[in-house]
Amino acid sequence: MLELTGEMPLLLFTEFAGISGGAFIALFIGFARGGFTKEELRRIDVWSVLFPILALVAIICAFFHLANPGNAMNVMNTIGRSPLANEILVFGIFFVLSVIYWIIAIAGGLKGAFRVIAAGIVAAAAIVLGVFTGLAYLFPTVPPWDTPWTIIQMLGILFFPGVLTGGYLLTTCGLADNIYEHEPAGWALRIVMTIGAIALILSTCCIFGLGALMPKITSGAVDVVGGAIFPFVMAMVFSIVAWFCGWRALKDNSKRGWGAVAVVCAFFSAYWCRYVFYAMQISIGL
Amino acid sequence: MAQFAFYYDNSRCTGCKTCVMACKDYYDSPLGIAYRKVYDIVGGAWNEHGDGSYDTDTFLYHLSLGCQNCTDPACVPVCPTTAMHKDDADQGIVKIDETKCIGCGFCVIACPYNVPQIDREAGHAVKCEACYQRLADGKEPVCVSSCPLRALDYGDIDALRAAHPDATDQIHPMPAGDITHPNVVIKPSPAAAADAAKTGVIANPEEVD
Repeated sequence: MLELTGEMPLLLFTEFAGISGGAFIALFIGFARGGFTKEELRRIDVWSVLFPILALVAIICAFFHLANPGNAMNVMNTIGRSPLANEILVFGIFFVLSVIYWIIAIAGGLKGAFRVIAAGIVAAAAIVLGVFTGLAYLFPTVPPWDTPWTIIQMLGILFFPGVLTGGYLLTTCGLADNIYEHEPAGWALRIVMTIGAIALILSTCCIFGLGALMPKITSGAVDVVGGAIFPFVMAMVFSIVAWFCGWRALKDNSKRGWGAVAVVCAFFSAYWCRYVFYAMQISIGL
Repeated sequence: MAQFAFYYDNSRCTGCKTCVMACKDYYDSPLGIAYRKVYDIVGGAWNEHGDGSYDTDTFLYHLSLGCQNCTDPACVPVCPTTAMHKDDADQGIVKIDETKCIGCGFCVIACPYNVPQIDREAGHAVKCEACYQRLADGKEPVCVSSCPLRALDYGDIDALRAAHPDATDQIHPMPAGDITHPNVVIKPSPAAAADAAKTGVIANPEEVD
């Protein structure tokens, strides 16, 4: 299997940031359509701290990638011009909004329509983050990356593992208990999760395919595409299993075990899909 | 305005890698870091005839590359801190400002000539910078002065192109020159100029990685 030790911090950053953002999309859908009791909302607010924590873990991973984090403030020099600087700025905005959201939530400030609006703002920031993260990887000199599939894969992580993770929190806090009260949310989450799964699977397939079409200019020692076959298979298997289990879990709360399996598989799905992405870093030149 | 460029006579190069080692020695580069890299390109095969005889179309040539100091460098626009920049006041040499570099590696990803590397010990990206400090002192780049075959030279790109009208800016497996517009002048060897060169592969990928 292709060794990607050097890319692991960024792989984990994009995975965790995407899942964290997608979880807020699930919260928005749940609150907009769900009809939760006060006790259920209280449990959701307490446990939703996990999502900003996941974003924090993501940025810590990203810092491990840098050879000199001490110069990080110099990123301000290119905001608006550098895709990477823009991504960092947007992540910062998303992270701050997610923390503010949680602080207001735990203080009991998310009442009525404001709850939906607040979750929607963070969810919107998450989608923008997904787009800008994808844009940061559009290198004209790396053809497998220089397509819309790069952005679609990031959005796929938001809408599939991310929504699944947020949806699992909602189910453990009552989403699927009273089916007829919550069903519009359940259906919406299942549909969004399915669209996300299709996006993630299809984009990963296309990125892998584009990499396979690149001319091979090194002698047999390093077969990049061959080394990425195992990660690709793992990405497909975990994605399909996660979708299947997630669909069951979001439909019926008696399937709570399925939800736990779905979330674990979704994390692995995002991991292996990003692994395939980074493995396809094949330049047009040397 | 003058634009610095290397001239590389691929027909003289024996792949001895003196240029690589001279540069590493001069800059005290650590293990795994080389500002200039020499690629060994091989291809072709031995073809057996039914009567026990063989013929061959195998070929081998070397490709010594430092930084091409491209007119449209791929590494500069992706740098989030402006550490990577093209110094138009100093012959258009692409340089790294170590005080700004965060070592994100985006320049490494973007460059189609495999030039920048991240030196994690130093905490920033490093690359061939055309020995600009030696140039300022009136000296040659170290690789140019060390080449035992005199296969390397340097100068203004326009002057080099005028002096070598049959030269090119791309031999396989370099990317097409219309992407980053590299400022390099290469006199190809017969093997590199042949159509069969396009089938060649890099025989030393781990050495130049």
